[in-house]
Amino acid sequence: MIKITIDGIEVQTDREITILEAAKQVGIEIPTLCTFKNLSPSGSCRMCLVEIERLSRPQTACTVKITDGMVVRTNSEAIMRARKAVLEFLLINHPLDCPVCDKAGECILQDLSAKYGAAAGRFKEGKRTNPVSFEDPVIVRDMQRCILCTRCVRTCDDLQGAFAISVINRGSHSLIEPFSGGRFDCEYCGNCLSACPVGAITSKLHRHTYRPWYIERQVETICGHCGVGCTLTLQMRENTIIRVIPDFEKGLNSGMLCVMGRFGYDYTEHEERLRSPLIRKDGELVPVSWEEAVEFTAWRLKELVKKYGGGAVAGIASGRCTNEDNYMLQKLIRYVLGSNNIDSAARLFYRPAVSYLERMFGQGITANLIPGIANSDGVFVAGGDPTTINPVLGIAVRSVWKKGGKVFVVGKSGGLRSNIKHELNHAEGAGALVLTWILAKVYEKKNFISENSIIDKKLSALKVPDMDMLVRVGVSPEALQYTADELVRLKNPVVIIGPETVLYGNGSKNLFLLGALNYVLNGRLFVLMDEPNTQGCLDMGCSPGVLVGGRPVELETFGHKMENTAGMKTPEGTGLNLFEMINGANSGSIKAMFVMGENPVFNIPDKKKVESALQKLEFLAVSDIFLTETASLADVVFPASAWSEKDGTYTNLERRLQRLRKGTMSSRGRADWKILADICKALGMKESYTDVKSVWDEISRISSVHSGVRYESLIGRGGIWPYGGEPLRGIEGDFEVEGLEDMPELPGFAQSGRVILKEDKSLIHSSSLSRYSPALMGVASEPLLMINPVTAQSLGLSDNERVVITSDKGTAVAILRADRGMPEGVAALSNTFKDNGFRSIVGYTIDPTLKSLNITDRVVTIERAKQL
Amino acid sequence: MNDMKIKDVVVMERKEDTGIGRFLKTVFFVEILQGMKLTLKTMFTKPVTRQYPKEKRPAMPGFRGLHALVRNPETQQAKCVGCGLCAAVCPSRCITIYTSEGEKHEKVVDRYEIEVLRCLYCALCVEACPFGAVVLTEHYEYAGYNKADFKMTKDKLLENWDKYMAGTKGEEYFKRFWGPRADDFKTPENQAVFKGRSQSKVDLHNAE
Amino acid sequence: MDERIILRNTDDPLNASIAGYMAHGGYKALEQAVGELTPRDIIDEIKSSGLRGRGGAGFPTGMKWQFASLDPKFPKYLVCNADEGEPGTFKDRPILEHNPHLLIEGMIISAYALQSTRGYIYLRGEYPHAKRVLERAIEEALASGYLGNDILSKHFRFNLTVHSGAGAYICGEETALLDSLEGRRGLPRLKPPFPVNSGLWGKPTIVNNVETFANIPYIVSQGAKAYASIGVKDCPGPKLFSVSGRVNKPGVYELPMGISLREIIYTHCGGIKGGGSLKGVIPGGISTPIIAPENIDCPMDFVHLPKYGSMLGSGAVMVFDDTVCIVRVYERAMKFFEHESCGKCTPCREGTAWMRAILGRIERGDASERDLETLQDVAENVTGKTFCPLGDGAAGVLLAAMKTYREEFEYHIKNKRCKVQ
Repeated sequence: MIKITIDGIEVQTDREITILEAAKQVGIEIPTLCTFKNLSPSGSCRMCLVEIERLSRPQTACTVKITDGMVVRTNSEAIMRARKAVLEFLLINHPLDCPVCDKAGECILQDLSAKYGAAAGRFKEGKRTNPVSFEDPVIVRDMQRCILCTRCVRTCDDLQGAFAISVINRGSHSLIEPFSGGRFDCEYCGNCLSACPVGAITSKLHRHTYRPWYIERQVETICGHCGVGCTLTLQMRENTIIRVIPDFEKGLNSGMLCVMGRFGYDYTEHEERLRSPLIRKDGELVPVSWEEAVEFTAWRLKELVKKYGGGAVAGIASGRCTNEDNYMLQKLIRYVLGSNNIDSAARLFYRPAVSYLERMFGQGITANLIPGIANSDGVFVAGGDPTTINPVLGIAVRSVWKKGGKVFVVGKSGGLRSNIKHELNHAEGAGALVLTWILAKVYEKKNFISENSIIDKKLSALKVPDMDMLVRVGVSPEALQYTADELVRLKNPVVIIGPETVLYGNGSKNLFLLGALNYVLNGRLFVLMDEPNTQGCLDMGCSPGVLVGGRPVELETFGHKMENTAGMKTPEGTGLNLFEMINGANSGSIKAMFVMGENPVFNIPDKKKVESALQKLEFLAVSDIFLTETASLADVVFPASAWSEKDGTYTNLERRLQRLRKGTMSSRGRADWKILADICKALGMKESYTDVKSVWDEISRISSVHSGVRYESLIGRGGIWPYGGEPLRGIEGDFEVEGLEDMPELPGFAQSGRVILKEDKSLIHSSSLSRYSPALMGVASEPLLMINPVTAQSLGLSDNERVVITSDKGTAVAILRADRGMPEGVAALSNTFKDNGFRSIVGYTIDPTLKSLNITDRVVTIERAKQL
Repeated sequence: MNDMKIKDVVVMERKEDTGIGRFLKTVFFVEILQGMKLTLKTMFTKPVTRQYPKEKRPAMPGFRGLHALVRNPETQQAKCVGCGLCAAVCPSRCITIYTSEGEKHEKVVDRYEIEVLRCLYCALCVEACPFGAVVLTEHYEYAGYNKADFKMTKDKLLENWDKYMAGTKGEEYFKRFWGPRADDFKTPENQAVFKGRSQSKVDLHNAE
Repeated sequence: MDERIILRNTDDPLNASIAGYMAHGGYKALEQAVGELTPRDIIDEIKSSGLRGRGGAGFPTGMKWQFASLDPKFPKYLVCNADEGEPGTFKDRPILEHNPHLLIEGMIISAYALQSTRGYIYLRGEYPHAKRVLERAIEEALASGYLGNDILSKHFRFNLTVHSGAGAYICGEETALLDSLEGRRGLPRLKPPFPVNSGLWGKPTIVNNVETFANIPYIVSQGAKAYASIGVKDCPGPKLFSVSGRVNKPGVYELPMGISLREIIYTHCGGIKGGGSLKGVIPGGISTPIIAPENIDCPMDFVHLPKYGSMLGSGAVMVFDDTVCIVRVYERAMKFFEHESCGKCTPCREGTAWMRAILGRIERGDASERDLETLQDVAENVTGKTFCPLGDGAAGVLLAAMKTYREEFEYHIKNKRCKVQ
């Protein structure tokens, strides 16, 4: 127990804390500038000087740890003078342009000057001038105002791990500059922006429009861009979002945001937002009233079900919509229309991957906590860059490295490049080879005695490639050896699985290898999720085989739980999955489809095929916030409300259930669940729902995993699924691994002039909504083709050139960007930009084991675009 | 609570005027005469009432009347930089300001609106303004039939300045009533501010 | 003192080579230490010798070593601070250029005592010649088996690297030096943890001055008693004084600790140049307060100088006679401090620039009485409030000068010109 006295008040703690923290405990305020949440103390601003008895000089409260019997004074005359002096020093070079500074009103320097500063300055020498940089699309840097507290630099280095900014020059000429000089060349996370205590680094989005007292309302909500589910606060004035700020106290992200979360909110006010319901009349989509659209839809659906039976109807749900929206869609499809044909884009990767792993280890195997990653001592990443797909999860991976843990990346290291020791960047298609080798080595070294005979048997059936083969696919023996050696030593490892493990073939084998590796290492699994509610979409039964709460359809045929609890009779038989629906539409067995918040024409490969299939439907209804490629084919289009305009719940990749709260209402759209409930009602549904809470109440009544979760109790960090990372069910059944005993084939390298195309998950545009966000488009406005510089050279192409990519399925235009991280002979294109998306120019097959997407026809030619 | 209230009530006893005195007072209309005394006295003096529409009373200098935005004589633009302090300090929240970023990255005041009907003429906005950009003119005759007329836009407010504070009147106003304020916020000569900003729109150097 | 210890044999041009050094009995102390003594013995010997660090603060070396040796973390690093950046100081240069093996021998003995296997000499960037000399000397020592993986066949490993600084004064501060050595911006670190517990790459690190290491072989070979008999009681040993300014014979002098300033100037350096009268002496480099002529009988050591309001610092004696303008001296000094301030903490970053600006105006005759007050106030606001001693020193020396030579500052303000001219 340590006892100290601060200003005559006795403080007792059992921990060795700093004077600053101790003073805070008893409500004594010590002013600080360079201290910031989550950052280690710097002691450089000298604002927090305090007097300690028996010490001749004043000491900084933020750095000095308390010792027993210490007597501290924070309000003596000398200290007041010291504070005044520090503020005077800071102000001699600080422009007094508060009236036009965006920070005024919440500026720490301003507040402290008002409280402790001198009334007038004595500095006559002329202020230092530093450049103001407007070069960045989203950040303005005004180094006149900088007080060099280095909070931004320390945030960038220690928390974000991007090392993008630094102090340059020395002494009174010091200023903060991006490493790249001039413009930032970074992830644009903007975390420096929330660290800046003055107006030196500010957002360009609300530049000169923001004043703290203009904020009329603020709402704590969940970010709608990726599967992490960061907590953030929307600040609004007259129904527009003025800015988004992180919440340092609540949420799993503890104050960190990424570029999408912080800047990508402006898509909600895009001018192309749908304003009213549309119905196709004489081939044209024309605006109609809500009643007409709802009644028309109900009438058409009723008619088609009567004519062709329930099996002719299908629904596509979305990971962008809330749990309530998805629940209502499956209710419409299953219980109102009588069809089990419901699926979502989760089918493309997330659903098959998670359900495969759950079949290996039991339900809930991927329900691990993201903040827990930081406590791990090693992270193994395969199949995708977490720093771009789930950026805040990526930050957790970097913090492992920061604490001395090891990071291993199979494939392109991307944003984790500076955190790994060796690249394991293999040739395209050789992932299974590398994984097999690593798994076999770790298995051998661990001397592992498995309790699971099924996995054990499969492990021993593996054929291990020899080193020569691995060298031929471009992996160094040194790197492999290092990886195997270090993996064995890990005590608390994490395995992160990205979409590339499944998307390009060998899906079941890759998943088996990673699952088994995690099993052998006794680690924790994470599956990257690029939409905010993909998991929730599955939990709501938006998958043909499972009902609400993950209950298999087969169980319902004899358990009748849905029928007993909610009076809902589940249709018999397994429904069609996403691909089968497309095929069904093509062949004519599916006649009507309801697509909610999804854009299958753009997001499922082979655009022409999907497009023609949807055109063959007798009735297609779409609810979305924009007139997407799919919506423009529809017979009825419902304008939905966007992420910031509705209430509801999201389930993130760790299966944390979080509340989304309604902020602005800039469109005239309605929440999807409301639209669907109206249609259900028109079709004769008995229940009526007043608000989103009543929908949730019904869910929690019938879903076994959500039972007892009250809507009101979902606040802050609360409300997680009942998984403590432990499987809910034991491991029983066998599972299939395709090509287990085959020696993985050496990938056939593309012939000269032809390149294998991959999907680029870029940080700025990993969400399909990002193309409607002016801020994000400002950062990356054109489609980029990432390619190895050697390959580019061999094709006679140079950096920043406009190129045409041609495959058997289509063409796209992009700007070529040399990227050393890409293996030779491989190029990557993102699936973001209209008419130039990756998935529009490739084909697909269905993985026989996983029933997931297997992208084919990826061999392309790349040519210089003709000059216009 | 209740106990306290009872304690607070003090019962006043009125002295009752009884007998002859009361009778005499009633007979001689003493109380009525007392009441009529003032009326009788003023009956023969010059009336103080002004016949308002015909006869207008000049406002005293510094009278807080209709609002105006100060026009910078050099640039002919509003002096207002859109700092929003007036909106922040306004007790009846009747000032609304919308600003945005201009072409040269300067702060542009898009909308400056005062809902005159909500204003309580405290002049805190004038006091808060670091640039002496908002005033209350001496003009007080602005009755109207339409509520919308009382929503002062930026253009109307600038017009008010030209109309009611023309000539040296405006200068006088600040000198006499708000002069010291403006001086306090005068930017020192060699202070580096507003690099790359248009001097025409926002001029801090001439902010007195 | 008849015999020179640190600058012994520096007149011999061959002394810089290992053959010449060994001909004068070099590396005997190392052989003795490694052959006969345990690391513990050496630390005890250094402790009882009373050796104080020669870098400026005068911290007892033996104590520092003991702290480091008690830290259980390994490896331990040994760093020689040869970043001789203090204006007026050039005492280490003769060692580095003419007696490099003495330094290397001292470092090897220290490494043995501390069980360190890796040493660095952080050399001032402006000493290219010393770098060549040191690197050759290290190669020679390596070839002769005094450095390397198996020193004197005793399974004792120690390797030494010379690292040239990039010219920052702040890197003479030990923690900034370590940052710079790690390849980062040289900024002082938070203390505690001190480098003896968490220094280079977070490992226990001993940072000692060149001169300190140069004292080690003598202590080991001649014993702590012999060493303690030189100089004064609490502060024994020989000390290098680099004397500059208005004296007849400026240069580096090896003299016992506690010698008086008067003796240095008049006995050893031949008195004031041109026979002028003494105006003031800076006893230990520009960041030590100036001493007025009436105090020049003060003994030059770490114990006595503080009583006269100054410090021994690096022992760089700067002598000013009446032709020197004190305002100009401190304007120039403040220009140096402003230029060399690292910019980490507010008072030093802004304060030095401000003080320089005011001093510049006083010097130019463009200041008022009030400016002098402001200057005094600013200097007081900087003292004792900075992160590291740089800003503290800058303001401290100005305050001392303004106290002693106030009338000169006032003359500048009143007459708009210098008193001297």
